[in-house]
Amino acid sequence: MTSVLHTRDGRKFYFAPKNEAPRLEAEEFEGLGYEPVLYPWYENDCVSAAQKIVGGVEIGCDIAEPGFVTVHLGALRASLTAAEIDRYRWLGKKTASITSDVLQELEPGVTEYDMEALVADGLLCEGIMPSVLLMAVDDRIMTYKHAVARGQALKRYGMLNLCSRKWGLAISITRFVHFGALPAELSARFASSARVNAALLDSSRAGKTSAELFKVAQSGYAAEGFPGEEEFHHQGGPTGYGEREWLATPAGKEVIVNNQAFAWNPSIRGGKVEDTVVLLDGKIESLTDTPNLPLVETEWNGTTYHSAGVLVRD
Amino acid sequence: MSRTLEQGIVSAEALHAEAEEKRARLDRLFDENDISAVLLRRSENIAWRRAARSRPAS
Repeated sequence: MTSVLHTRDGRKFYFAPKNEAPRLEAEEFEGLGYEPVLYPWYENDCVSAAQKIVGGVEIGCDIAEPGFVTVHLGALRASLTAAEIDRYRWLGKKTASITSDVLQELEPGVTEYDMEALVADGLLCEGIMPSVLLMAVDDRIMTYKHAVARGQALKRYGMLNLCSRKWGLAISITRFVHFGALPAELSARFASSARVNAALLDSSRAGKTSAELFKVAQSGYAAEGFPGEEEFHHQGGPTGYGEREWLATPAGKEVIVNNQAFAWNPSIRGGKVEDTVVLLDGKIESLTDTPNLPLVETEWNGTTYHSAGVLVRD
Repeated sequence: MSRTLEQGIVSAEALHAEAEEKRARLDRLFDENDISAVLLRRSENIAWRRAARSRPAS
């Protein structure tokens, strides 16, 4: 849509094609103190325009551009402000509520495409963008970690796995429904995933590194009798303005900060836990509680952590 | 963001504090990289800096 330029002396500009100017001025930048820099739609050279505005000084850019210093804003964005956390609470609550409502309405015969449409409809009606939709049923949940919808009809086991976005912020959540008694083996995998999740949440504290968090997941799977499970899928990590800002990896050097949000997603062969939380003053606050759905409580280091269970229906 | 919605979710004080905090963080970016300006082209960075400030059609 546009690019923006900020100068050290406090000036702010946005760059946009002229045909977008009326809406941008009225709906996106009004009252924010930005000066518009407009160009014909067939020209798109904000780089030259930025250099012209600031003259011969060093300019940073968040993508690699010749003549610019490449800068990374991930660390700047990591610690959420109070306003961002308020927005995140709203977005998480709405997304979780819509996910819960759709899950409870599913019936055998509904297709993966239907499941995507139902969730997307609920989100879009609230002005929330569905940014990731990975709905799946039955054997496809067992077979694939990212089971992109292919239209298969639900028989017994359904998964709503999605990300939503508003105001730039991203929420991740996964919930499951099973028609008929949940097989004991699958139930045990959810319990194990919940314990790995609790360990990850308990370790999500300021100063911990990506590599340390990876080790927590790795050790957790081994303790649950699933050594090496971490090889089959990423475990998640901090979130915010990306569905994941970074992933926990064996040699990852990124460091957790206070007021950072996380979406861990431990999974074990068809059983999975995924919610969005925020670390606030040393404590974990869930942003995606679904009070009408089953909950798995896990004690870890003296703290009770919650993970979503499977909604079992007749 | 809808002004009405924004008013219901985020206080004016929090919005002001957010703007100040993000300005300070950009100042640190200028210092750390020895730059005098920054061009933001990635949507996540623009969204972060604009702090969700948009309004619906009237």
